Amino acid sequence: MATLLNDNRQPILSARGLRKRFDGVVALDSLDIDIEDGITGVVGPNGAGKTTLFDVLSGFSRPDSGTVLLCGRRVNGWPPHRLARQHPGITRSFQEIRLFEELSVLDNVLVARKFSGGTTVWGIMRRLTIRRELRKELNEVLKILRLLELADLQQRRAHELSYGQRKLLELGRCLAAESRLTLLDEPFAGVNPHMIELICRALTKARDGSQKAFLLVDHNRRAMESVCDRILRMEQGRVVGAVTGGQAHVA
Amino acid sequence: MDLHTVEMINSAGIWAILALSLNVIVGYAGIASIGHAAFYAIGAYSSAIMCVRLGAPPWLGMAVGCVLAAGLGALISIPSLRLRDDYLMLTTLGFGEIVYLTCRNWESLTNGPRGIGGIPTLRVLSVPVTEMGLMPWLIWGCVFTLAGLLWALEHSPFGRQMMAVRDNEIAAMSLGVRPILYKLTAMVVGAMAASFAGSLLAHKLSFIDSEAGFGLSTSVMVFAMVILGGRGSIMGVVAGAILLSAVPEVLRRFGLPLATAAPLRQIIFGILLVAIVVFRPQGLFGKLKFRE
Amino acid sequence: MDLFLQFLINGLAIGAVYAIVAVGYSLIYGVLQCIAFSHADTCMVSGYVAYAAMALLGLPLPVAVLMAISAGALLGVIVERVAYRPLRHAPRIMPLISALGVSIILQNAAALLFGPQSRNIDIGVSSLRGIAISGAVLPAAEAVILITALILGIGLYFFLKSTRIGLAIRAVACDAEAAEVLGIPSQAIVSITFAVSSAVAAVGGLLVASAYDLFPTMGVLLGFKAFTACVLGGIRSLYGSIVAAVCLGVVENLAAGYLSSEYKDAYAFAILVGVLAVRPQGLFGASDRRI
Repeated sequence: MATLLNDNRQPILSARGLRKRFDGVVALDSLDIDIEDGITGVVGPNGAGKTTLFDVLSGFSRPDSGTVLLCGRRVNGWPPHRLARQHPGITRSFQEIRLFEELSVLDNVLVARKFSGGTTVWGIMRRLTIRRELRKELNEVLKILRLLELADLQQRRAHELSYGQRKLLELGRCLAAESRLTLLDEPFAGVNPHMIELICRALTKARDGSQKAFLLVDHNRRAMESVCDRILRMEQGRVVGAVTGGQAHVA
Repeated sequence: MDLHTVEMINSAGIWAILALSLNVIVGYAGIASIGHAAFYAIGAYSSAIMCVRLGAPPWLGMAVGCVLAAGLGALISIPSLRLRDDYLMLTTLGFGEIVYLTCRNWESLTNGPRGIGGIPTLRVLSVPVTEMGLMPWLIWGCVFTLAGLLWALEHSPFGRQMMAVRDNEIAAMSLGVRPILYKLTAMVVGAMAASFAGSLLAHKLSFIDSEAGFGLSTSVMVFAMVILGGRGSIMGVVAGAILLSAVPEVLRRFGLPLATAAPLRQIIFGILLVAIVVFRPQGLFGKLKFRE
Repeated sequence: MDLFLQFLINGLAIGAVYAIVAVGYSLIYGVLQCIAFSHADTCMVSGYVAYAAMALLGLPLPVAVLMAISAGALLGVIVERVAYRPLRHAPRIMPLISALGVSIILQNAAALLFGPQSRNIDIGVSSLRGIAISGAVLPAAEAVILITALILGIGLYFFLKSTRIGLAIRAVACDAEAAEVLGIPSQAIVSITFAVSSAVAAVGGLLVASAYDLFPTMGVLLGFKAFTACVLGGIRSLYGSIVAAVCLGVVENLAAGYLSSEYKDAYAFAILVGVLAVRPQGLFGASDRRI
């Protein structure tokens, strides 16, 4: 059963008229985008502004003008940690894979579990709990690690993993975060076919089971077509069209 | 003009020489040095020891001081290549403390806190340089001469390359510029000028001891003068020197006892340092902020 | 042999103090990538707060201790807000200069309020005899230092490993932005790190004030040596810094005892220069970054 557009519901994330310049180069040119439930892909040539779009939507970059609405709420200029702690929240992965190198695989994912659930700093301070008592969270995390075939490596430090395993770990961290929308920056880059399959399976499972929505940017056409419900095309700072879910994954 | 005002003018002049000398290191070469008082001490003690113990003429004492200071400066230029800014700064602090500790503890050489007295007054063409007489002219003459030399350095091709190294070492290297040459030169020039200031101090006071201002607080004060005035700007650092050396005077007008005035003066310096760096990193007259 | 043991014991005690102060440098460096130059002055301020509470206000020891630790933590948070946070995007040297300014202000404020003479706070062990250990004596005050340091160390270990804040601090120390996308407010974590580090340093200050001397420039050498220990152990390695600090205390004391005690403070500097020349990332640090 394919999860398709539900036209009656409000899009999770909506942006209108986004503009962003860097020293004379126009990265985003009055861009409009609606991101709905399911897995949305964005393709386009290099320099089309995909990374800038990610940075703006995830709070790393302020648009020069335009609005970003998260479930109808204006979130312009919100810092990343505030966007992540929202209900619904936004989290993202990074093109260059940013893990907590000194922390174990388990800790890397556990961090996501503990802080994206809407707790404030003061809430955290009031509940200085010993990790072992939160069995439920541990189980959730182990489930994700097993799905990504990383469970055996849980005590290893992140910097000891192979490239593909690091990519999977970053994805696992995103999955563990209790965010509604996850932005994935080139999740399939440099990864072997078996891992691509793992990633696709994990994404669809998260979409169906946890009602997570995803926005993917990648150059791997085949992988994108197999996992995305819809694909949008970006060129020169704007969204220029959609490839509909005709080739989308049908279970 | 009374003696006290002239003393202030002379004192400000020596601070100006110190500030100009540190400007070469901090401003032109981008080395954050807070151990500068070490060179000052070397100059002062060289003059004192050579003139009083060995009976040498003043110019020889100054020359020996300059050579020794240049040697230490060259030594410091080596870590300046490998260490990043903040580690380097702490290393210079350590160097400064070592020299100060040596001055204080190596009693057979320096007499420690008891000091060396009887340093002869300078003579220019057989005319003695006295506090009220020739001294302000001599000191400020040196200030302007040094300022002129540094201005020439700043605008020379060598100076430009030095500042290129300061601003972007890697880019400069890719153009075939070798940083060690410029950093070494800057350290040596700055050290020698500071040593010269120390020699002037020795002859001016005719008595120096290890507590005469060769420690960290002096290094920090000179650094503050450069930062306040605007590093890289000749006029700026001289202005900074005049302003900051006037602060104790201003406090004196309030009639505060020394036990209160001294720490209060330091507190003012501390506040100034924080304020400048947070609100106006280029200083009063400078155009540059620190390199990224 | 007796002499060696005595030097060793005294060195361990002072090394434990260095370790307590080094904790702050390491933690703050982890989350901020910057050397908190004014950190050691927190020890001095806390010492004076306790002294003022006990000697001037006549308050009992536990109250004074609590006040001192709270004051230390508060000072850390304020200094972070005023002298470090505005410069977080500036070149590394700027926060160092502003911290230098803060350090000068604190030291001279103490000199202004309390005068330059050494003080001492009485924690009630001065009447106790030391513990004899095969020919050497462990003074009671130094025993207090060792026990306190041990407790602090164990507490710190569990704090970082098992609590949510500890995990957040470790995550922010690895990668602040990656932590942000997971909902961790890295700015707030920096403040908390300063508060925790300063509270620990406050304890260190109390120990020094009771076992040794309290004076306005107490933080200068203390900080320099703790920082040297961090460079020796690798500032990003918390436990490396702690071990290095204890070793530094021992080596320094042995050298002062057998060689010359006048140049005692110069040994740390010599070690600093040596380490920076040969292995700038420290014994336990990773070698990939230009230091």
